Amino acid sequence: MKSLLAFILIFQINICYPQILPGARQTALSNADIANGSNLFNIEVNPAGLNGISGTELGVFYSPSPFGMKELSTGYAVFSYGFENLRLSLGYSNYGFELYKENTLYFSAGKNLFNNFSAGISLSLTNISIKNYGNTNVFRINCGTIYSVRNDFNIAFSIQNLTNSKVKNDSQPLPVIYNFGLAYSPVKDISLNLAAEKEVRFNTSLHFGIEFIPIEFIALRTGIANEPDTFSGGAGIFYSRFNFSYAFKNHNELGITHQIELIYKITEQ
Amino acid sequence: MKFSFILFFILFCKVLAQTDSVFSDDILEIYTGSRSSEDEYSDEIINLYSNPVNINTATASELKQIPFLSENDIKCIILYRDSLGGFSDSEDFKNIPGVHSDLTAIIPFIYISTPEKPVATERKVQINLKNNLIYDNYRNEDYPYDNSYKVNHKLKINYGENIFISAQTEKDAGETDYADFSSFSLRANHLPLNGNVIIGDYSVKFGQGLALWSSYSPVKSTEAVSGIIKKGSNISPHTGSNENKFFRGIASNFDYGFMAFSLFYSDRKTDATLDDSGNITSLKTDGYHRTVNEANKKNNLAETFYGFSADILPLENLQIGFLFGKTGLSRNFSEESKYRDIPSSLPFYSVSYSCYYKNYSISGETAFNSGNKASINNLYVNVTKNIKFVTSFRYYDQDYFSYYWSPFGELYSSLTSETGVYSGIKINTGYGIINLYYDFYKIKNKYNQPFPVKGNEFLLGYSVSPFKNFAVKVSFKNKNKELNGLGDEFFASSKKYRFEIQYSPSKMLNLKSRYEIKTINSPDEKGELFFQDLRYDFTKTFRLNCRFIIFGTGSYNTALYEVENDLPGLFYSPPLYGEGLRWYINLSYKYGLFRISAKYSQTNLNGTFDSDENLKLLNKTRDRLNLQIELTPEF
Repeated sequence: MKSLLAFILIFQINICYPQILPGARQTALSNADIANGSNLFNIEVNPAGLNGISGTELGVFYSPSPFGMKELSTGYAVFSYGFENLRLSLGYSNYGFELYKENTLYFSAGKNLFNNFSAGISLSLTNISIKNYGNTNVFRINCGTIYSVRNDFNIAFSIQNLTNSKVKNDSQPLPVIYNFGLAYSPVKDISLNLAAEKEVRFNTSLHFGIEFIPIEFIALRTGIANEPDTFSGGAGIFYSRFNFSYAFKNHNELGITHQIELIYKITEQ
Repeated sequence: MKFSFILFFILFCKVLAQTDSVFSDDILEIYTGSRSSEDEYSDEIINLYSNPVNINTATASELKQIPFLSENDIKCIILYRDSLGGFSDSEDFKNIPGVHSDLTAIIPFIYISTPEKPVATERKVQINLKNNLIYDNYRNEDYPYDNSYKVNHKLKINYGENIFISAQTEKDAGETDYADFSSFSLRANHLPLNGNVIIGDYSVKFGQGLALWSSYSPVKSTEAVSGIIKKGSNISPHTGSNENKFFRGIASNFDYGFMAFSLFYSDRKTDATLDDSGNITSLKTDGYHRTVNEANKKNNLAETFYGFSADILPLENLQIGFLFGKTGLSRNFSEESKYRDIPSSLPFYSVSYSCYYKNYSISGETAFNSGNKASINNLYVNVTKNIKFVTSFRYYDQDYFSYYWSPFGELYSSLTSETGVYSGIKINTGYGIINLYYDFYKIKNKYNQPFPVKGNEFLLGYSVSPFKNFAVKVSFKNKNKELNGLGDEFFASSKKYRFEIQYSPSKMLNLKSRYEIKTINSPDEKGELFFQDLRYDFTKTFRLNCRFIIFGTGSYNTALYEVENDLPGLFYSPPLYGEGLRWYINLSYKYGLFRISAKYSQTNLNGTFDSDENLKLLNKTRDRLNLQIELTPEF
């Protein structure tokens, strides 16, 4: 099983690459929240999404067996610090098992431009290690923006792998992905999120997610997506400086993914 | 899931208003359509867009250069403007009595500024020198030329309002002669009888374009009522780089009482393919002389053209135009040519009319040659200030032929008969603008379509600005065309959906996101495109435009087009097919008399295809660099 998985990952790197999961909040919302302006784990999908964070934050998430396969276990940590006019963030993710491993380092910079517009860029360096084949490094750039049309309505776009980077000796470049998203809060405690994701060689995938905060400390989340068809759900608990989230995601053909996330607000401002 | 976008949008739509675009590519797409390459006919529209006129100070002759304005419209605008002391904004256009056009269509070509105090007339010399260089690494296997540079120089000189001179040279990629195409024209204005004369290269527009229209021609677009009705007549210097559709000689306009006359004479060489006996097998109209074979076709044919037109205004609300012209070729068509029945000497006649009464306006043209006829008749109604309606009936004989016509309709080639009815309506609901048109037609080509085929086209467009600095545009277009006319009623169908959002976080920054999908049923396939536009004005003189496009189509059949911001005075609309990415960066900086512009674009195709033709495109990268230096001194 492990060898088969390693074989698939090695020869389909350019297809599997975008399967790296975002944070638990995003997973619960079926990755629909790219227009959300304050989420640590947007560092990969939309770096502008870190600019709404106030103060300094540290977050980690862990997915023990994505799609029911513990070989794909993913760990992720992000630290974000805001200067007066600039937000800098560092991230690290680890994915895979002994035959195939990916370790990625992220550095992102974001800035609020004008009153209601923010932009961000993240640089990532991924080391891909394949047992008996050696290892290689891939550098990528992701960028994105979020515009608050009104207090309750955001619009965003992002481009992943703007550099159209390739894995060494792989004839096909890693996927370049264009994301477009909207976020709307019809009432204070409900957020509707919609995103479209287009990757070369694949049909456009639509994602829709709802977040509901019934009481001050709890958030309930659910989402659906197509291409492939998935549904997801989860919950968040806010306590003091801690923010804990759990998410699950069902894939029609693969298994269920469980994910947990913990964010600690080190300083408020 | 597909409806979630719509549902999402409806949820927050509360306040709605009219939309205006800041993106020049939107204007170009509306008024010129998406065409598959740099389009020469759009030169006129681009120049007008780049140099808008102040509607509060423009003269009648300046307003006449704007498409879609008739003589009557111009009179009404000037009368209203002079009586009120000027327009304060475009909303004032709704109140102009007597206008029979949708004046919102002219907004891209004008600006509104307080009238300046009249100054003593002084003859000021204005010079505009534009030099373009385009490098493209694309190699077509049929034309494996070495020289990939296209070079173009354009000079325009205005001596006050009396003299206008234009000159240009152009070399396409693959051509060796730096003046492979050269053009010159001189126009003198304010001659006796309110006349003007053009010596050199010129364009002629008459009536509805059925006999003579060698200039920009409107197309079906998301502006359902604008541009369908043409507003001839006019002669103008040929400033575009089209190497085929223009005249070379002398032309003149002058007025006498309620009549206006134009005379024209042209004698020039043009390209053609000849057979062994020196007869014409085909006319070559692309202007390329890149290979020995292409160069051998250059200037093989002499063409003379002369004619005159008269516009008479017997009543204030009635205009009648007459045209006579004759084209003569130095050679006959070969028996193998599809034009074999066209005589080398071809006279033609045309009658046009334009009449309005209250909210109604009718116009049309009927042209004849060799016993064949082409006719188009239009009705335009200002139903209310916010509702405009247009309908148009066209009939073109199969054997009707003109070298210089630009008819409205489906016609893709001459010697095709067409009967069709177009109806369009534009409604400003107060909750957004709706454009809708339906066109149905029957066409038959003399040589490759033995049976007439039916077809129809429907477009529904909606644009709205629910919040300040935020606009949404959606459109749906459906085209059906019978495949063979044999009565099996199988229609090739094409559907195109577009969703677009424009937003402006600040005056300096404008963004646009677009999603477009096209589906066809023969064969069954689809094409998708996303693009993201960003325009940033660092200063008033320094602008950045960039676009990122991601696309995927089944084949060329579902190719999608996006009109791009190119160098000033140019535009580019490549067909995007296969699977891949395209992006460009366009910078423009003006310093004193100079403006320097540069655009770098790259297309990466990395999809997979089954057909041999498309396999050639695998993993291909196409780079294109455009540079322009513009100099605009004044004395």
